[in-house]
Amino acid sequence: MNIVLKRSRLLLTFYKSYALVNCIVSLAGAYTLYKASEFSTTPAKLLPAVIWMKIITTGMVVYYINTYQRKQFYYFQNLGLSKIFLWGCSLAFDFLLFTILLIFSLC
Amino acid sequence: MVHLLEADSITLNFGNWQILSDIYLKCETGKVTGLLGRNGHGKSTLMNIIYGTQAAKSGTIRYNSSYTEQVFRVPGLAVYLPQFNFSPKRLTLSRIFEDFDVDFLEFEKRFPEFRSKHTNRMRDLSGGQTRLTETYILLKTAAKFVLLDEPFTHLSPLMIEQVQELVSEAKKEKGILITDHMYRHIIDLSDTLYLLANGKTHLIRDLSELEFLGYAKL
Repeated sequence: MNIVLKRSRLLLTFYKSYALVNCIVSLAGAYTLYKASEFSTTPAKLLPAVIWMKIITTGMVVYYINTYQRKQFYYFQNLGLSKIFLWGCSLAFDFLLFTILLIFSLC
Repeated sequence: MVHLLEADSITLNFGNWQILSDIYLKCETGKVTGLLGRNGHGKSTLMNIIYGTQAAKSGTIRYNSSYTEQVFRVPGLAVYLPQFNFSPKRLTLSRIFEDFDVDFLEFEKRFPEFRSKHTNRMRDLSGGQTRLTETYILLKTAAKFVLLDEPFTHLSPLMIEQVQELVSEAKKEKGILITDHMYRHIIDLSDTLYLLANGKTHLIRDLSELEFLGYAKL
């Protein structure tokens, strides 16, 4: 298998270990902004609060995985992927999804 | 060509507690290097330092005499079996074998109890089966060095024999660093034996030294 495809699949496997919680938080944030736009002319005022909620919950998720699911990191390290690489790529992807959802909710 | 992986002048302390001091250990391809030591004397810590997942206070890890900061980041250099099961439990056997480029059919042929289990998830396996699977996979990867931390944990006597055979086969192409509390198996398998005691590694030339250093009564 192509090395890029293989790495992407491994990253997806790692992302799945916390995707559910982060996706729920992202959807909840987007839904809040969407609802706010129905009742207010300035829904963007809520944006900082939504972003902070996302950052704080992500921090909690990172702490949980690093503490209670740290054993799985050896799986990825044995395949050449470091912790920093796993977190960097998967969180970048997660925040990209979050941003897209926010943009849609404000449109 | 013989490849060398060395840990040199490794020191580590947690506060005032000196865990490792001035450690030297050499692992070479074609040989099994055994590492013995009592509980809490730093065997797993030393393996993590060699593998690059834990930082030492000082010291170097060298591969073929070149300084190597994090061994696990060098493609094809080393893999590590920690003392616990490390594979994500939701993954299937076939997926794990595919990730590590190891042939499942060969595994199935060698261990018939795994026949038709390629779709099973890791969580469906017993503790011994999980240990055996992970040890097998790491020994069959293309890595030049395999670090095995307590590979005999959870294994039945028959499985221990099978793992010993696997290690003996794998050493033809690899360097293997192995530690376990079943020291007689380690002694039988090892070409070179170190004892970690009082924060230092002692190269064991005669088994009576194990008794002298207070590790075991032989």
